[in-house]
Amino acid sequence: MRASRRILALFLFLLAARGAHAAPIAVVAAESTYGEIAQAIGGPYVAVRSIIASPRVDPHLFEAMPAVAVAVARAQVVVMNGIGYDAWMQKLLLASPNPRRQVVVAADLASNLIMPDRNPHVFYDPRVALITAARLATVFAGLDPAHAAQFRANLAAFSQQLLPVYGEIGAIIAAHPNLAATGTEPVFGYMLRALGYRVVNQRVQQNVMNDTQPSPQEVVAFERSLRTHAVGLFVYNAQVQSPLTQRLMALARQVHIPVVGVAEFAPAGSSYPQWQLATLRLVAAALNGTRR
Amino acid sequence: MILGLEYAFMRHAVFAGSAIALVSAPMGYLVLLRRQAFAAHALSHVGFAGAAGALLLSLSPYLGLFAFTLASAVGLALLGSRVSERDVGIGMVLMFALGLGVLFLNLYTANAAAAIGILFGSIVGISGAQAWLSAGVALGVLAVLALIYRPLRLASLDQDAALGRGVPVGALGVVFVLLLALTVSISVPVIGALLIFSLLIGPPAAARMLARSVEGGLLLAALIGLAETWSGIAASYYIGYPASTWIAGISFLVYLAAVWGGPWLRPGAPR
Amino acid sequence: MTHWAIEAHALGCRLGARPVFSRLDLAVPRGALVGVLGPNGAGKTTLLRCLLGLARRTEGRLEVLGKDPGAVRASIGYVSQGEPPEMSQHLSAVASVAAAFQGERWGFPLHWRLERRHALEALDAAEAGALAQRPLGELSGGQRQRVRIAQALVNAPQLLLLDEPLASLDQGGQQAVLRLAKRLCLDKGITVLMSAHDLNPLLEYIDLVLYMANGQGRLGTVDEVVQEDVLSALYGLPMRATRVDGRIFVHPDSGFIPELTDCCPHCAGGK
Repeated sequence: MRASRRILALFLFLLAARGAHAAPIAVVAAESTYGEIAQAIGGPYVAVRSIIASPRVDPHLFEAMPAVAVAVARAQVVVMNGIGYDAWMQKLLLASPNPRRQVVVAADLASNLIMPDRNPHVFYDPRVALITAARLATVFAGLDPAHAAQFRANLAAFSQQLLPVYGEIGAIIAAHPNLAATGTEPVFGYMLRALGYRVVNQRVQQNVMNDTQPSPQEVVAFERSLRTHAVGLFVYNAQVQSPLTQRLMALARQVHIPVVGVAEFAPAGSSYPQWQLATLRLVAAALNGTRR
Repeated sequence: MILGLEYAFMRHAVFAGSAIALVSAPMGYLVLLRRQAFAAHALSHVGFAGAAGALLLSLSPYLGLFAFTLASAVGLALLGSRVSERDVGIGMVLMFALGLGVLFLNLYTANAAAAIGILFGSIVGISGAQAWLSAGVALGVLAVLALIYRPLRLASLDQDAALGRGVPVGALGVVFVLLLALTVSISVPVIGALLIFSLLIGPPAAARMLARSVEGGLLLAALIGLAETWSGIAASYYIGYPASTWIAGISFLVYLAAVWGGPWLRPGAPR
Repeated sequence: MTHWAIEAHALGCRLGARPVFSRLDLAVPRGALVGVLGPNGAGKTTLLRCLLGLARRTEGRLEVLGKDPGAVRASIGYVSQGEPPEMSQHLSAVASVAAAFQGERWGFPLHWRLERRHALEALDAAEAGALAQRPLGELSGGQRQRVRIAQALVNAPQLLLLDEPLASLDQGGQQAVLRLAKRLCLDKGITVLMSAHDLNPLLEYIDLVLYMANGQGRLGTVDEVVQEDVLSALYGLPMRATRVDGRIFVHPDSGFIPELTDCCPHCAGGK
C-alpha cells in the first residue's frame, strides 16, 4: 500500500518536473470558453486545461475535486469568468496561494461592460472575449518573451475572426430591430444587449439560475407576456432545465414565439468566434422562421 | 510526498479536516448521549441560512454562520431540555430559519453559487485563513468542553442524579448547545450543511457500539473521525470524486461494520 | 454532629401555587431505614427533592445532616424515580457509576483510575460488583436498580434518598434492593429514605414509616402510624388498617376510593 503510494507520488513528481522544464505555459481555464480563447492566443506554446467543458455541468453548482485543485496549484496562468460565476475557482485559488501565478478574470478586465444587474454571463459579449484575449497575449508574452510576436499575431487574428460575429449582429438588428426578449435564465443577456433587445421577466430568470423559487405572480406575468406576444424571442439555457423552464418553453412554442437554445460554453473543437457565430445564426434562423 | 501535502490546498484540507474531526468526535458523542442529533441537524441548516444571508450582504459567510447558529442555540436551549419538549421546538426554529434561507437565495440578484456551495462544502477549497479559523475554534471548543466535562458527563447520563449533586444542568445545556453551534459553524463550509453528520454523528455512533466507557467512546470516536477524514481526502486525491462523498460513504460503512461487528469485538460477549 | 439525620418542624412546600404538603414534623435518627408511603400526589417525590434542596421549602424549618439542605448535597445520594431517558444502553455499569464520582466538580477527570476504583467499590457495596463490565442494556431491572444505587453510593453519602426503587421490579428484585438498603444502614450507618407504593414488602426491613396523604404526613414506627385513628386523621375520612397473616391492608372504612388503591393494590383486588 505504502509502496504503491510512494511510486504514485514519484510519478506525480516526475510529471510535475517534466511540466516545469518543457516549454508550454501551464494554463488552467475555469470554463472551456476561456480555454478556447487561451489556446487561440497561445497556440503551441501553452498547455491549456479547461475544467468545465462538459455541456451537462451547471457551472454554478460545480464542485471541485482534488485533481482540479492540483491543476490549479500547478498552473502558471489561470483564466476565469469572475463575478461569482465560478466561485469555486476563487476558493481553489485561495486554498493554493501562489504569488507567481497570474490570474486573468474576464469580468474584472471588462468591468465597464458589466450590466447593472451584475449578470455573470459576460462571455456572450464578444468585446469581453477580445479584452480577455488581449490580456492573455500580454501575460503569455511576459512568461515566454521569445514568442511574444507570435502571441501578438494570434491576437490580431482572433480580433479578425470576431468581425463576422459583429456582422451577424448587425444583420439580425437590421432584420428584427427592437424586440422584447425573455428566457429561462439570463445566460444570453449580454448578446441581447448587443442586439438592442429589451429583456423582460428578469426576476424569474434569476430565480431559475439560482435554483430558488420564483413567486407565482412573476410566473403569471411571464406566461402572460408569452400568450399576449409581448415578447418576440424566447431564449433558454440548453444546459440547465427544470420542470418550470420546460413548461414555459413548451408554452412559447405553442404560441409560436421564436425559441432558441443557447449553451454556457463553447462546444468541444469550436473556437470562440465560431461558437458565437453559430449561436447568432440559430437566433437569426428562429426569428426568420416565424416570420415566414 | 503522500496525500499531495506538497500542495497548499491539500495541507489546508488535511489540517482543517483533522481539526473538525477532532472536535466533532467528542461533541457528537455527547450529542448522542444527550439525544440531540436533531438539534445538530437543525443547527447545520440554520447555519446554511445564515451563510446565505451574509453572502447577500456581501459579508463573510462565517459571520452569518456564527451569528445564526449561536442565536438559534440560545433559542433551542430556552425551548426546553427534555427530549420530549425539545423536538417540536427545534422543528420550529429549523422551519423558520430555512424559510429565511430560501428568501435570501430568492433576493439574490447575482448568482447564488457561493450559497449553494455551503450545502455541500468544499474540502479542497479551504484557504489558509479558513483552516486556521477552524483549528482555533476547534481548540477553543475542546478547551471549554474539557472544563465542563465532568458535570456535563453526569448531566448527559442522568439528569436527575446531576441535579441531586447540585450540577447547574440548565446552564450546562445552554453552554453545550453553544459549543455545538460553534462546531457546526466551522464544519459546514468544509464538509457541507447536508453532510455534517458524516463527522458529527457517524464516528461517535460507531464508537458507541464498540466502547463501553464514556472516555473510551470519546477517544475511539476521535480516532475513527480522523481516520475517516484522512482516508476520505486520500481517496478523493488518488481516485477522484468529491472528498465529502468519500467521507460520508466511509462513515456509513464504518458504522455498519460497528453495528454488525460490534458484538464480536467486545470482550466476553457471546460469539 | 447531631443525632438526627433529618429534622423538620412544620415543614411545608408548594409547587407553583399548589401546596404539596404542610405542617410536617420529622425527626429521623442517623442510620435509620425509613419507608415513605402514601398515595400518588401525596408529595413523596417533592419531599425527597426538598431534602436535596431542589424543591424550595416554603414554610417551617428543615435541617438535613445538621445543616441547611443544599449545603450538604455532596453527602446525599439520590436515585430518582424511573430510569433516566438519557441512560445509555451501551455503557458498562462501572462506567456509568464512575461518571457520578464527584460529578459536580469542574474540569476533565485525569484521575480516572481513582474514579474507577471508587466505582468498583460502590458496585461492590451495592452487591453489583459482578455486573461491573456488563453493558447496562443487558441488565435486568433489579440489576439496573442496584447499579443506580451504586451510582448514588460512589460519593460516600451519609443520607440516601431512593424514589420508588421497587417500582417495576419482581419480588426477587424487590427483596434484593431492600436487603441492600438495610445492610447500608446497618454496616455503613447510612440513613436511607425510600418511597414506595406498598407497605408490605418493606415491613420487615424499615425502622420507621412516614405516611403521607392529603398534604400531611406522620412519622413513627409502623405500629404508631398504621393505626386507624392516625390514618383517618391523615386522609380526613374514616380509614381501616386490616392485618392479615402479618400483612397490612390500608383501605377506607366504607366503600372504595380509586385514588387510594395505589397505596394498597390488594384493596382493589379484594373488591
